[in-house]
Amino acid sequence: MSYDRAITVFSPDGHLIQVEYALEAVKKGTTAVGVKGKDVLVLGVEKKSTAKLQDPRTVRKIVQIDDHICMTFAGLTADSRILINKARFECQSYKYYYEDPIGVEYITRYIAKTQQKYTQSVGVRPFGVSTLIVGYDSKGFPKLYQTDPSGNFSSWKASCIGRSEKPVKEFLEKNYVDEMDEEQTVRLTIQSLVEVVESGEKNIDIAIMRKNKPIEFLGRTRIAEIVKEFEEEKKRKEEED
Amino acid sequence: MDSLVGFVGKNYVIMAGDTNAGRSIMRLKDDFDKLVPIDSHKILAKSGEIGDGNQFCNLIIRNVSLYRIRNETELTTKSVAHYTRRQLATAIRKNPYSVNLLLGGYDKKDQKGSLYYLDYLGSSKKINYGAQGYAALFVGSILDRFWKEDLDFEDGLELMKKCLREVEKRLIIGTRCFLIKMINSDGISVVEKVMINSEKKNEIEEEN
Repeated sequence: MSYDRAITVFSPDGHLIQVEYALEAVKKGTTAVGVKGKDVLVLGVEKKSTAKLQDPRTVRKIVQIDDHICMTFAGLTADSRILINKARFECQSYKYYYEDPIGVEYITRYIAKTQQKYTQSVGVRPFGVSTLIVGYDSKGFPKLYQTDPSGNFSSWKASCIGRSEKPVKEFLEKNYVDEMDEEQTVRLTIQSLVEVVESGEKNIDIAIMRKNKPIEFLGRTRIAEIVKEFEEEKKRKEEED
Repeated sequence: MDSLVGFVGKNYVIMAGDTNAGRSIMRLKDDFDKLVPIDSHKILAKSGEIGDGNQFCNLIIRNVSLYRIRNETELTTKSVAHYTRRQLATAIRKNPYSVNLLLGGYDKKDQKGSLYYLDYLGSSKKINYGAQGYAALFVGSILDRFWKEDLDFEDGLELMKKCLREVEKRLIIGTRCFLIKMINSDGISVVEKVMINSEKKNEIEEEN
């Protein structure tokens, strides 16, 4: 009975206020960064600081959608679970019908389509989630896609979603160069996060997606090493000045 | 017309299937792989209707993959057997799949191989050795006599070839080519594609 009214309707000046509010919810979420290198994709996330008694291993923001596709998100974690589940199912469904592994753009379009559906359906609210999807296309090129609550999606060289979106994006725009190798891509990702994440490298997760290889999570010690190198470089620069 | 044989050895499972795909009296394909990998350490050997086998195996493979992606862990052989059986059991009362299966798998946790016999009616049984199709008529007694627990791989391969030789010898419909696969801790590997020709023995008699 109460399903007869849509929640997301146009405002007098042509905005979908609920969608814009959903974007606000995304801006409250912890930061997620994706960077595309020459033949590598790196995802970095700011981990929400866990309570003392909480098991930090159960809070995972970078998830596998299929063997060759990964994604991360910013915003409402519970909403993201729904999208992730649907995406995982769609990947297997695609393979069931076509025997080929799903394309990165295909699954991005699917996730974006789902997000859009919830902005034009009765009785539902939009997903309060933006996603970053990484994988390799059929020609073997690395691809990074971003979706948002409105259902828009686009391909990026490097992108950031979540609470520190602005400063991190500015940093990426300044420092991104085309055709970076794996080391440079990883360093750029870590560097972009270290500035904005509270309490430093302990709250950063980095995942590397190489072609035809399963996703690899960078170890704690390696992240700490790289962060240390940045800090030493910074000190050196300050001393020179 | 299909012949599938499988048994469990020391830390491995060995399975063999004939490579014929036919329709009534015609052989359509003689390099048909009936031992389908479900994941890195499990094989579903299918026999019966080819279309049903393809469709059903696809269904199982996709659902096992979905489980693995969702839960970041692989199912055990036992779980897959139960799941497969459940699918067959619900189907038999609606739209049956005409497939009989042998499910072989290696579980890293137990470090043991296991073999399951599943048929289109929804039966499922964990077995040490067994066969599907016409092979079952001939191979049962051989395995009853010679199968032992914890057979080495060489002995296991010999025993398998013994079984396949018997199938080739006694089955009136020509099933000469068999594909043997093995699952162990390293995963699935193709052992051999054997061509068995027992007629060669009669060369001497023909000359006389």
